[in-house]
Amino acid sequence: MNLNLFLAAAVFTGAAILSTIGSAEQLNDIKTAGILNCGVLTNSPPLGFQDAKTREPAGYEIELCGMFAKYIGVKPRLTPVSPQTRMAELTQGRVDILASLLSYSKERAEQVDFSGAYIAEDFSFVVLDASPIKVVDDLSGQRIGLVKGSVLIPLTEKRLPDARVLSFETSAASFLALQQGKVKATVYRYSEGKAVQRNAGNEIKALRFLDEPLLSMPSGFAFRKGSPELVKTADEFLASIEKSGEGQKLYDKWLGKDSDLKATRKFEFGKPQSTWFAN
Amino acid sequence: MLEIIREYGLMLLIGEYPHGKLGGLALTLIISIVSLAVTFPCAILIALARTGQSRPLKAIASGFVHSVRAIPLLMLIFWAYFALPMAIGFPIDATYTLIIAIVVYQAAYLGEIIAAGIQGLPNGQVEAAKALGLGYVPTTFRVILPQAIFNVIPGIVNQLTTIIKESSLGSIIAVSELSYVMLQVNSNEVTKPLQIFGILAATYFILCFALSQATNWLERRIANRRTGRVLVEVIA
Amino acid sequence: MIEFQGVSKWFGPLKVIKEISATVDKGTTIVLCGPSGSGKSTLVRTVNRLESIQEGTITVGGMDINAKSVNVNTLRTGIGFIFQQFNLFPHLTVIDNVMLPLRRIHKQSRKEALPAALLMLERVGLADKANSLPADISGGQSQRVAIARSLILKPEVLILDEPTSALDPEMVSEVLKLLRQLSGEGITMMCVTHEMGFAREVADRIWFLKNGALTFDAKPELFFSSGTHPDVRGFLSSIQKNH
Repeated sequence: MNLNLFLAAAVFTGAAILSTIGSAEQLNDIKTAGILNCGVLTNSPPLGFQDAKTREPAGYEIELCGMFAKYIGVKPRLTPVSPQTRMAELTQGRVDILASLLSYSKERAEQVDFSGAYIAEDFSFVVLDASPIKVVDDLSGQRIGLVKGSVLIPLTEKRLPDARVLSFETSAASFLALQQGKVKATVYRYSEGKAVQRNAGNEIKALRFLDEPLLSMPSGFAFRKGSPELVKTADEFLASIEKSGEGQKLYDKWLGKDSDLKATRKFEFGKPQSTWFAN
Repeated sequence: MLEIIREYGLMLLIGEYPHGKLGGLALTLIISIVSLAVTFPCAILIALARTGQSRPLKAIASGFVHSVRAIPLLMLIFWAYFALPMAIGFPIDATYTLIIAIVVYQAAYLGEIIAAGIQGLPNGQVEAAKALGLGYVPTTFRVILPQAIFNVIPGIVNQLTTIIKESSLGSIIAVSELSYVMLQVNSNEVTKPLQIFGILAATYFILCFALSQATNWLERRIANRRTGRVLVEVIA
Repeated sequence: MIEFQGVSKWFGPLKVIKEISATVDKGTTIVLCGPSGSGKSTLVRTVNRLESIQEGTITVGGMDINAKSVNVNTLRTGIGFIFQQFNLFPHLTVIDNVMLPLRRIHKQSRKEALPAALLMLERVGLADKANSLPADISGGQSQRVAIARSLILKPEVLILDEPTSALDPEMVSEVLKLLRQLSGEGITMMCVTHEMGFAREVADRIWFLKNGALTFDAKPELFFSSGTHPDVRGFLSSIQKNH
């Protein structure tokens, strides 16, 4: 069955009723309700995941959405969304804001309004540490495992025209294929790849990043069309945490020096990223 | 495998409960049981409409069954989640959406199974009930259904286990049932998909196996009771 | 008690009952016979409206059974009907089969219904089988249970559609014995059967049907005499050959 077709249909459905839900008074409505309904992912650690101890959603995006709610003087309410349905959840008004790793794309920007970026992560090729592959060009002619429907597939094909891309249903399957040698490489978001590396143990073969990133993909908050004042407020909020250092603190906690990922921040909170469209 | 259960056990059992929504295995069980409980009477109504005398009812039921059979459940869930709120004007909780979609879907299938059971009964059963002067309700509920349902128990069990397994489709609309929580665990652990999905598969196996065993037991019990009703009761 | 006036019935284009007019007096026993396909089963099935008629009227106890005001279920509770295949409810025990009309039509509790049902089973000689399932008793016993079940609401009319045709020969007599007994108790009976011995002994009148028409309606003495209808003579000799 063609899931993408359903998604397109669902998004269309959402767009069809946009006029009824997308009131220009969104910011006021949220303030009146006193609640900001955040659509978040719960399966993308460390950005948004289910904490094993508290059994509650936790992570970078979840904390960030809470900060934004506080900024506009309301309480956050977390609504888990799935990558397949998140756009429709927003356009149908089930959530007020998406803080769910929604990467910029022209198509998405036609259906929702993006704020400036709050995250940008490199996507890089990952190989087994024991493999002789040193640089990206060594992958030419090799099999590469990716997740079905991912924007990474055309990019990989463009970068490595001779490579054979195998697409898997889930990233777990693509990970297993790499472990079993069925593919020579896969592509991981930096934080995801680091987590895999960290969890490598006796049964898991160690992984290695290739230096040259395939791309850097930024994400921002997404809002329903037709409320520029809400987008503007979000941009102001992001700029404010950039300035105050709260943004850096948040980054350090989940991704940077205070986390076990030790990543370096290469983006600026709230900076319009219109030139970064991945496609 | 044991570490996963140790670390995530409570999350797998009850999700975020009590400080958040109930999830995990408990939610899977609730969704399954509620779906079963609502599907069954709906399926009986569909079966009665399908096998009954009223032409309009027959046409409606058959139209319903044929359209549902032509749609994948995933799509039905999707549309129930996004289109139903438009129709009724307010959003429905994802868990209820899932249950509604499963009930609509399975009522069609289970209805056909029960209808087959009704059609499989000898015509003389209905004639005998009629000849005794029994009306529609006692004929249906005392004569036809007890026999028809008993005769198609294997098919019914099949659908019931399907319902349990289909509750896993809730993960697409972020219903935090067992599969969804397992996906969360998998994304936290990253490197143990085999173990994690092994636990998931084992859990569904145990649930479905237990259900079919329970039904077998029930089937035997009914059969025994039908053969060996205690004499004392009659004499007393 | 039962009166047919110009009754006709079609199955599609086929006329299966042809303008039958006849009367069954109260308390009498009518035996219907004739070659297969002659319409005798269809005719008796019209009396409790298991089959509809297209022409004529049937009255039972003076009431037009096809009148709009007649509740078909009430009509049927007053007419016992016995099928060739017994049609006991296999999921219910013998006693539950017999109690079913009391419980579901007279809305009696199990406790209320039990004495009458046991008494009725005793009458057909099967009190010891009360807790058996239909699958565990013989054909003759099944038919006797079916008779008990149809008599439990004390109908004034009992209709039997080939009650012994599905039975092994050694079981026919136990059912006929019961029918003989019932016939003596004053119930009005219509019985489709090929048991000519039974007919001769018990019937007040015998109806001979052929091709949907009531060809001959006579007392047994005349029916079995040499002066009988020529069609009956042919029919009698053909069934004697088969037996």
